[in-house]
Amino acid sequence: VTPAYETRAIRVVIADDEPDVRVLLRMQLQQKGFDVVGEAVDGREAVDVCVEEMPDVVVLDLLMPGTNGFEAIPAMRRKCPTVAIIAYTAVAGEFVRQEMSRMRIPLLLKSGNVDALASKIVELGAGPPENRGG
Amino acid sequence: MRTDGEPLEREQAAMSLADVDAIRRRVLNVVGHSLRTPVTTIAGMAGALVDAPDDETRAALVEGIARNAQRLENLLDGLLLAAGVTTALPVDEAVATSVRPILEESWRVVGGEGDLVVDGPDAAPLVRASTLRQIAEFVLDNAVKYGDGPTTVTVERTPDQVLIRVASTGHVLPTDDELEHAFELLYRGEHAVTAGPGMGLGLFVARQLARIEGGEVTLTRAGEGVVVTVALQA
Repeated sequence: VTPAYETRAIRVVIADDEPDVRVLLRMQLQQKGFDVVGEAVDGREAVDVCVEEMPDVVVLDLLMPGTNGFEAIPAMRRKCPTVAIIAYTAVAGEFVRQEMSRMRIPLLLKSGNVDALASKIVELGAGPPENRGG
Repeated sequence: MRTDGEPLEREQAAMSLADVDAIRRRVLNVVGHSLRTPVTTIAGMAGALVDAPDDETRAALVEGIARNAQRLENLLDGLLLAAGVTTALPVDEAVATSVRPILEESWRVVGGEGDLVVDGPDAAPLVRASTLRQIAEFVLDNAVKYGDGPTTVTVERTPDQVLIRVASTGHVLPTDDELEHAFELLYRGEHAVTAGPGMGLGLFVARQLARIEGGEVTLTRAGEGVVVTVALQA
């Protein structure tokens, strides 16, 4: 299926501690035409990979061992201000929803269907870099 | 709020109900999280099968689906056992069961990175294979979830026991208090809470299963990490 939008130029980093989730997201996003340029297993590595690759978008799991995604956001914003962050999590309580809203970070619940995530990546990644930060 | 003359029992009962409500919410939250990741992974991988470009990719997806279905089954069994439901307990007989292949397969099921290194000779304790698999998966999952370095497993045979030691280094060492409570149902130490999703179920269930087999599971601090020891009858 050919996506109805131009996605080829959008570069994405995936940060999730679950190997199967990383494999699946890489496969799904590549099938949608995105360029998956890196993966990370925790928040600290996510920041490092983003500094190195400067992707357009990072898909960031919030609950990870070590430095979790939530804790990585300030460093990500400081070191990679042009990288758009999408919080991608299995569950989100009221606190997480409020915090993501306050930081103007889009929050998506994990799903087997990647369409919503792909649309959000296009929405954020296709825009000018100066518009991507919170 | 208690007023003068109101029985203390009522206040205690009200506090208990609040506690129960808090626990209920926490359980539903962690169950939801623990179920959602494997369920969405299975759904996504099944969908991706349709467009898989080659046999290798298809095989990887099928393997991923089977692995995550196994995680769901373990979670279900653990929840039933935690609820005191014994109908899901295995009905097969305990026989001499080689530990090494089960440890290696369990490592793959819990998503361990690379190959698991098992030191020491293989040993075959008297245990149901299905139960040993569950114990191994809960203990190794614990190591993967809370460790941030390599996990090493050693197998030792004593005259009357087989000891499986799973050593992992964690980013925050558990306190004495946390070691003491680690086997309580739904208990999660501070290091576990900051490590991300989890239920406080794994070590509880692993110990219950080991005890059903006449064995035991213990937790000790060692150097920069912890060691979970599974003792089974030789």
